[in-house]
Amino acid sequence: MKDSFNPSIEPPKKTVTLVSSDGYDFEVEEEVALESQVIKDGFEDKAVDDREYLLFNVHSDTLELIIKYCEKHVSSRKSISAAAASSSSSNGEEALKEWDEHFISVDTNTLYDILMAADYLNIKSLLDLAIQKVADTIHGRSPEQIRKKFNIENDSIIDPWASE
Amino acid sequence: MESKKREKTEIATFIKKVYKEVGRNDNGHNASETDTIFMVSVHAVLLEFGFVCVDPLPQKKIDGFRLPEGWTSRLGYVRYTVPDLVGVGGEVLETVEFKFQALGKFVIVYGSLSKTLHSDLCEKTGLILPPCFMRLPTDLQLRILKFLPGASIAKVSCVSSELRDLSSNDDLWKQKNVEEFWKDLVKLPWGPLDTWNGHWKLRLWSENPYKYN
Repeated sequence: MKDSFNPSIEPPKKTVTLVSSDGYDFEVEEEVALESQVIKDGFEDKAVDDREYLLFNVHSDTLELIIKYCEKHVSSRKSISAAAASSSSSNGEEALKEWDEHFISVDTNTLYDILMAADYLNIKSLLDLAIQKVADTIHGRSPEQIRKKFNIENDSIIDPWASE
Repeated sequence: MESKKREKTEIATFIKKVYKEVGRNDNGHNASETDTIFMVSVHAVLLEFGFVCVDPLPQKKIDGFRLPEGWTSRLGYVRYTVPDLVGVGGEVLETVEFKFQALGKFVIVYGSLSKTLHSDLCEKTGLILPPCFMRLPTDLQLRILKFLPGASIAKVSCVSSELRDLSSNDDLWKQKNVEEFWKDLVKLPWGPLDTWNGHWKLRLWSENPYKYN
């Protein structure tokens, strides 16, 4: 406590602890955690030794995936800007897009878990990625196919696509 | 029109029934009439949706429509749970608390049903509710629809009455108008779009009939 007035003394490592809804601790680098807008807002106001976040709505399985996504995006953003600085050509952005596509190709339950968690943590790029994926499952399907896919009962009286 | 009317009277009868039962079992409260009616109405709605009222001491489920012994509408806590969490002997482990507070002409109800109850109860008891499109929060559902072209949204609206309500969101159709019909004309003044007073879905339909027939 006696050092707390000296701003030049930094904590040995800049990490943040994220606690999942089932009680697992995840220690991640600060910049990785800051991918979440929710953590970013008010991050500066939080004491340095109190950088622990209880994520009541995110299960450890989902949190692991989210951290993986954020780590990848932080590291590839760095390499992309490094490549731009040295003006060497790179296909970093395309590779990242491909990685995203592979990342979000998961089963339906995991997809909705990621969607909800990205919304809760407010990670816009991941939320858009997950929303696009769900929209893709709807796009081009007839109402009957959507009903089957989402397990929805038809209670509409008029169904112009009924004959399809 | 007919069915709407019937629905309304059905709900009113149910509230009346609950009110009668509550009044018969507990005459001790002397709260003002309006407060009581309001509190009982909220209670009735919760019961109607399948929640079970819980007696705080001992923590056991209350059969029928009664409220816990000694309740008052001045400042009352009422606990609810879902039938899945009631044990064989009627004992209840996890509940959600609703707080009623009368302030002058108003009665304030605290308590959250949606996310908190959902995640709390699931988390504490290990019940797993698989996520699906229909259980997503409305704002997320709308965001998903915004990623779809108008023709797909029209199909979604035919899936069920719930999705029809969701997909008739006017902002959604306004955005689709801009995206699908006006995107080439964005440099024009916004006059024509701004002066449109009707439903945006109809507008997209009338501009692009071939797409939707």
